[in-house]
Amino acid sequence: MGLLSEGSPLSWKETKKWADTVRNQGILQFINLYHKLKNRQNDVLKWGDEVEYMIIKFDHDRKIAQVSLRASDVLDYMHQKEKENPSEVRSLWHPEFGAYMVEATPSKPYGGLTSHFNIVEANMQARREEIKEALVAGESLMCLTSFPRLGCEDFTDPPTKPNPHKGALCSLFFPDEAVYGNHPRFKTLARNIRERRGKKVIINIPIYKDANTRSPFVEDLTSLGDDGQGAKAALPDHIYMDAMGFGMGCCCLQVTFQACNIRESRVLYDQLAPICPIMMALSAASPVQRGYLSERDCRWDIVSASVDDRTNQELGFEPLVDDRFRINKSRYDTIDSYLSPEGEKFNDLDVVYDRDVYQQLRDAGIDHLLAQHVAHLFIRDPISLFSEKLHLNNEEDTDHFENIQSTNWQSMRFKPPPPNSSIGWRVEFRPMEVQLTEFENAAFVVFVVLLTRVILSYQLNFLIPVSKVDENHKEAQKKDAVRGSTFWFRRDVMTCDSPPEAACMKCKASDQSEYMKMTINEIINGKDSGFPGLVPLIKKFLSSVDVDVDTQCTIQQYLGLMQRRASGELMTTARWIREYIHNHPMYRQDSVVSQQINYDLLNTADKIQTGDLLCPELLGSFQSKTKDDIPNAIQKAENCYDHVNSGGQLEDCYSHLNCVEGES
Amino acid sequence: MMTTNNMKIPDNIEKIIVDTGNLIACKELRRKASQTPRDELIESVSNILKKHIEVLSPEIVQNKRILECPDESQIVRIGKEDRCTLKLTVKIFVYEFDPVLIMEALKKVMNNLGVTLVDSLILAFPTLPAPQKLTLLHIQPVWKILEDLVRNERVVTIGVSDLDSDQLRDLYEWAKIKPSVNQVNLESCCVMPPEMTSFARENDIQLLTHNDPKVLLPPEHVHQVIGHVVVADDRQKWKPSWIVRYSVMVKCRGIIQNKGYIFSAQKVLSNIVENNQGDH
Repeated sequence: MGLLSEGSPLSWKETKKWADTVRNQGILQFINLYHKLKNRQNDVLKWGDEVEYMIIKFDHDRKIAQVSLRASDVLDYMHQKEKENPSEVRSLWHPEFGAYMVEATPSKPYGGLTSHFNIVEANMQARREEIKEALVAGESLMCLTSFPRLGCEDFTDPPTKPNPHKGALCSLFFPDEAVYGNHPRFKTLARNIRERRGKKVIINIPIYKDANTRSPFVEDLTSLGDDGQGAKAALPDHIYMDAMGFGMGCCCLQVTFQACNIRESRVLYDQLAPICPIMMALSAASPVQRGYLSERDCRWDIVSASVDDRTNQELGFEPLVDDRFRINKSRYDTIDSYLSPEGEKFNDLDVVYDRDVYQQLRDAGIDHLLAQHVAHLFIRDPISLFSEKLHLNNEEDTDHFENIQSTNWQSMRFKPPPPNSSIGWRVEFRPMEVQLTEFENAAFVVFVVLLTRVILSYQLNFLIPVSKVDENHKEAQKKDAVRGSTFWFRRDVMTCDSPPEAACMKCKASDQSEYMKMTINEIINGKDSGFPGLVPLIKKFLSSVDVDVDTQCTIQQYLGLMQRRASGELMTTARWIREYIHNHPMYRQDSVVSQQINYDLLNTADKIQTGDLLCPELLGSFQSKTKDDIPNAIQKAENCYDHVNSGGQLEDCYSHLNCVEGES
Repeated sequence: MMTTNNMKIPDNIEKIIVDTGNLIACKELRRKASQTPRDELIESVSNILKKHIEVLSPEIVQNKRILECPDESQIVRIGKEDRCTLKLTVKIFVYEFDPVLIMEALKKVMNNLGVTLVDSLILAFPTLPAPQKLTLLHIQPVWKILEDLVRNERVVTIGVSDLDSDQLRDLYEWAKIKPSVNQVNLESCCVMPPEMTSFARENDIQLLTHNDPKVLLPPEHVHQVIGHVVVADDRQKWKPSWIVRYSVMVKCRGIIQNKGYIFSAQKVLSNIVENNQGDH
């Protein structure tokens, strides 16, 4: 979830006092970093996924499924293993916001060979194997975007009680014990966000109105200890939530990749931004909140509201007196502007940014778009600060920059190289919801990384006005958006960079005709009149590059899943969850997901993950040929090409390959 | 405005060589993404050829037998300083087991791209009329040429396309320089025969996929490529001699930089094309 600095957290009051210092130093750190690394070239493609998991405790006798608050024990175990055998482990484990959550990444990043696409799923499987011994009887590691009964009575193991009057969250529903406690960052974040706002966060998600759902749907919160604040905040016909845990306690699936230089990273940042809502809709997996079916399929707006630390002044409810800006988005939200020169003309949002910071960046030789982006990030206060990390060397450290950067949780993240490392400019793709199985998660990850290769190879252009991307982002969260919604998408994804005689005249005018509404099916699979579709473009790419048979087979399965999810032939995870609940004999058409339904749902999902239960309506009959390693023959040949092309003897290469017999 | 007659290949030309240049940019994509390699070849080569013939001044080719149509604006030469970051794969499709034609094709692609070394060279053999089956005897003479290319450090690895397990084993056992690649059709990637995969694994042969039809361009389809630039009487006289597909990957970034075809066809002066069709 971002930078994990060790140390003693400051109170919000103290943090606020340091805000200007952190920002001032953070900008200097960014400027130093930028000038040191702006000319970094020829970094290789390296990429990796981040999968978040929940530890679920099944009590099969009582037929209940709860979140198990043992993440810290589990992580201790995994970290011990990693320490003892750093070269043996295949995955790295990290804490997340929930005391029931863990995050895993591959221990080594993947590389530029097509064969790397075939080891993602196997690595994800290996992670499960590795963590198994740290789990206790009844526990399962599950990829759930949201736990359906998060914040309901009796949702944790061991049992906990929320305390609305005391602690970090002060929630009616979400106990502090369900926040990861072994690192102070998480509770500090939650407390400081609440204190900065001056009140608890307010999350209202429209409830799915079924035949027997109370109408208007209004809950009596007094029995939970509400002093009236909750009743005031809760909207009728909405599921009301009041704590950071409801958002940051969700899991997601992220992909980070290294670009060859800063320019490429800015291009990819921009080109993937319009893809965010599309992939979010396709990966939709969170239709139930706090025990109720909602009208939404995705977590995004919940997370966004759950960390919204804006004050009444910043929100525009009160005149600006102490605060500096009217701010139109939460810290967790969609991007506000493109970063590449090609993107500039599509920056149609009124980007809120700090003029002084902007000027400082411009004076330091940073271009308008990047300066605007950073000055936009820097409208925020640091929201957690550690006493040990106040005084830094701005030439070497970047913690203050990272502090602000890593608490801007946007749909895309532009990541400068860390100081003194071999890592280059990176881009993080953050909108996707996590899927039940390794097969699906690998499919989504591989799809996105392949798409970046296709964008760069064919110089595709997906840019549409940022305001339209925002519109799509709202649309994408709606119930069954894959089948029911249409999305703004670029009509012609070919670029003007093509040879003169091919120059598409259309590109010249930036008007409405550049983009149109399409269904997800049309975007992914293409349509007859001209729009090729993302999967056919990827397939075209694949037929032009060297791919080994197993990798090709695997990728074809992944693309098949995406195609059939997009066409609606296969269900999204969200739709599958909804249908499961609707068909459950104990469901009373009242939007309520009871303890028993929750148990059966998660038990079934768990069996689908392990493969004990087939679920063709969700997964089709696809099966990948994922492998632990890339084929020897491929690796040897690649070494050989490298060797010879960098001036080595071909002969060495063949004796190495052991191919030449006799004469040579 | 030119008349139709001006847009034909002059009578003295007996051979044409067309290089499509880089198809990766906009051009390739204006077409449907699901276009087959055959259609891609036909469309790109015939377009370049037509464009070239339209502006051809007769004096230049007056005394020539060979007409070369490189699309200079599209051919992307590989710079020396970039070479080590790139992987060049060349696949040669031939219609006869003729070492001379293979050499001609390879020299042409290396010359056009400005390289002295090909990373991976893959040979697609001619199809034989049933019930004849491709055997080692067919392959041997052309494989020797490929081995020489490795010995002379022109090519790093040599490979084949569409061999079955027996053919691959025969070649492997006989060859001095072993095949590094066997390409198989993409359709079969999920159902590879176990004996093929285990043989490949044991002997470090890369099993890669292609998306090409059995015959990339059947001889009788050659009119689709050149039909519009030859006079009607000559249509039957032209036959394809070889096709090259090249692709250049930026290795560490996993992206395609350059991909194109070079197509060569020959005018056969007697009427043997029709008679021989079945043999190829």
